[in-house]
Amino acid sequence: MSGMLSFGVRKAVVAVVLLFGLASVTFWINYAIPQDAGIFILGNVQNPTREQIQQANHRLGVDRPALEQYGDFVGDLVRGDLGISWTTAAYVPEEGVVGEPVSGLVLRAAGVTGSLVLGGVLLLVVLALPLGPFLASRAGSSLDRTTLLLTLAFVSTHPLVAALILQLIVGRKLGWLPDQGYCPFFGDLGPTGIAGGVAECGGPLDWATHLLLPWLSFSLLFLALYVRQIRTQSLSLLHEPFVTVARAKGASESQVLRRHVVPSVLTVVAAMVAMDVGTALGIALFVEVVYGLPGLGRLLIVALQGIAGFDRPVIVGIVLVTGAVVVLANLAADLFAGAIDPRIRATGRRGARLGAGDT
Amino acid sequence: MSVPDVHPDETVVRGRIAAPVRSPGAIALARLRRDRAAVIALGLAAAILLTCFAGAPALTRILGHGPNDLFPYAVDDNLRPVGPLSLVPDTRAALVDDDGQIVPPAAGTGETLLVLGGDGALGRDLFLRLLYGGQVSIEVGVLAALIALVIGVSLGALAGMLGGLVDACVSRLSEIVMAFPILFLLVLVGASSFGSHLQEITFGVLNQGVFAVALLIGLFTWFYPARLVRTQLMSLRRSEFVDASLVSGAGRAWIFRKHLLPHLGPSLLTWGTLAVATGILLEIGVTFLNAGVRLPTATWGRILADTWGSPLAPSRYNPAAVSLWPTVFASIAIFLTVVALHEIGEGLQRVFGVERSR
Repeated sequence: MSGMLSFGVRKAVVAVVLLFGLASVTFWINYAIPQDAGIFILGNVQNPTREQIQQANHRLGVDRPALEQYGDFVGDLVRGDLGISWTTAAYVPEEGVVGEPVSGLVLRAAGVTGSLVLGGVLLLVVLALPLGPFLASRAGSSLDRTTLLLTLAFVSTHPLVAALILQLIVGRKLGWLPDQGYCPFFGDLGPTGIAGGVAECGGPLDWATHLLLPWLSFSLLFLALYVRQIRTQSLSLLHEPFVTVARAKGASESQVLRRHVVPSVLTVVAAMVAMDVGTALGIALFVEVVYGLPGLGRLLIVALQGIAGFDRPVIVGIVLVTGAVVVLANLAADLFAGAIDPRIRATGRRGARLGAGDT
Repeated sequence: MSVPDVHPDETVVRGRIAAPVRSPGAIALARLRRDRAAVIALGLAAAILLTCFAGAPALTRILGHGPNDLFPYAVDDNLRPVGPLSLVPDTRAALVDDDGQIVPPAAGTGETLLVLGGDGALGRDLFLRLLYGGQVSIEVGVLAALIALVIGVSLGALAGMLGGLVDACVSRLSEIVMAFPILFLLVLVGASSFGSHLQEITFGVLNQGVFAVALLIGLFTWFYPARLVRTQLMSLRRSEFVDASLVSGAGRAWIFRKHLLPHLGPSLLTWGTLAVATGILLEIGVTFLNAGVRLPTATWGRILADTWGSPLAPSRYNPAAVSLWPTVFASIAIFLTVVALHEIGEGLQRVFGVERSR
């Protein structure tokens, strides 16, 4: 197993270097965009003079040379300190600049986005995994062709449009499910809605009912993609010798699908899910916006489009967290593939996949 | 000696009739003709292109008003835009009496036709805005795919042909770009003053803001074609015909152009088609998030955002104040375009026998 271990270590080192690169790129892009970040801590000063802004810039430390700021940024990063959110920052005479730590903000938002993505993926796997092989076993039938046409329609629907339509029809016209807001899984009080207000809801049941529509909107596109992919995959598997052997031994068609085809497809699905995580986070952004979920997407938009300017620490924090998820998912897929296939351990990579890319 | 009676297309080889020699391109074209779904999709795409680029100016001339003209009387009291096929007073100014009440337009004002009704509270022509918005979306999609292909094929070719350190550098770079959430970056740059400078670049032909969005999408999606090219070159460069060329004294660049690039064509074309669809969807997304193509240019994302509000200030759905027509027609336009592109992509995969994975 030492081959597996060194393969894992090599991949992990690459992942850490990658994340560091990601944070640095984000820092420099933000630095390249000129702004007076000091405005964040001016408070309610009306029409600040140039001197006041410069003083505020100095207090925030954004008037120092670029490399010095970058050095501090890297030093903090190594210690796991992402700094404070400029939007929440204020200048207190005795203590300096104080504000909410970015790590807390990002973690709380990541919990919401995580609920959305994980629930959506679960829904997707539970639906697509049986449906794909089932359609493959009836390839060419009218049911198969109708479903394929339907999946083409779903693949071509913008997630934003899907979310808006579902929200309008199920959430508002029919009123079956809540159309806005988020309820925390734990506790009975929590922030909700786009304005970040407080609603009297919470607990697993409220959490699930508020997330049902977002889950559906999120997984529609992927569901269609995965059903198509799994169907194709199963179709080629149905002609493999091991399936013929199973049939020859007298297994029924459903047994063949359940015992032989689905497990083989499962490994492929695991790799696909890992590769689509980046895309999924992008789609989650739209769903969060439409349903007013206080997740990473909303946090990012507030950080980007705030009145005072870009909230750099928050932006870096979000890019870092999402980048880490993408990198970790791919690392997991690499390790998974490496564990199954020794050839990959030797060359160290999976094949490139032809795909439509991020949406 | 009698010559056998042969059809002019066929070749006589030592008295026997041989099958006509056909190039791979001709074979692919013949297969494409028989692929009904792909032909329909191509027709649909051509129709969309024609309507957006030729139909929009023609319709503007026929109707006598443009996509950004305001028709204050094309809305009801609650600022709800009128529905499809409405004749509205042809005036750009609303008349207000001394009490601030809106009065009907002066007698003798002509009428003008809004084919699909009005768009939003300003009463602009929805159909024209959809057509001009389609121009923007299609320009963004095509340009982004081209930029990604140029960067991706160049870097992928370098990595695949040279290997070693170059390959390692390109692979690490592509991994960084891959892990970068592109949507976040689009919003980030779109909201900056740097983005405003990019916004002004049009090369005299593009709509305003198109190049900025396309460039960003291209800069962050090139890793797909790069990996595609690299992987294929890795296996192709070991083949015998490459060795034969090398022995005959051919240079690497020449071999790439002459022998290897034709092999990559089908998969790159397929990826390009799907990438246009992805670019269109991304453009709609960033515009909806208020960071892409800016007013007054109409885009499909903008039409959606006009009804549903921006992320920071979403408008609560209010049946009395909002018409669903803009959403419905914009959704249909987006859907038809993307369906056509997806079906063309799938058709190309079938025609060229490209290994299918999506």
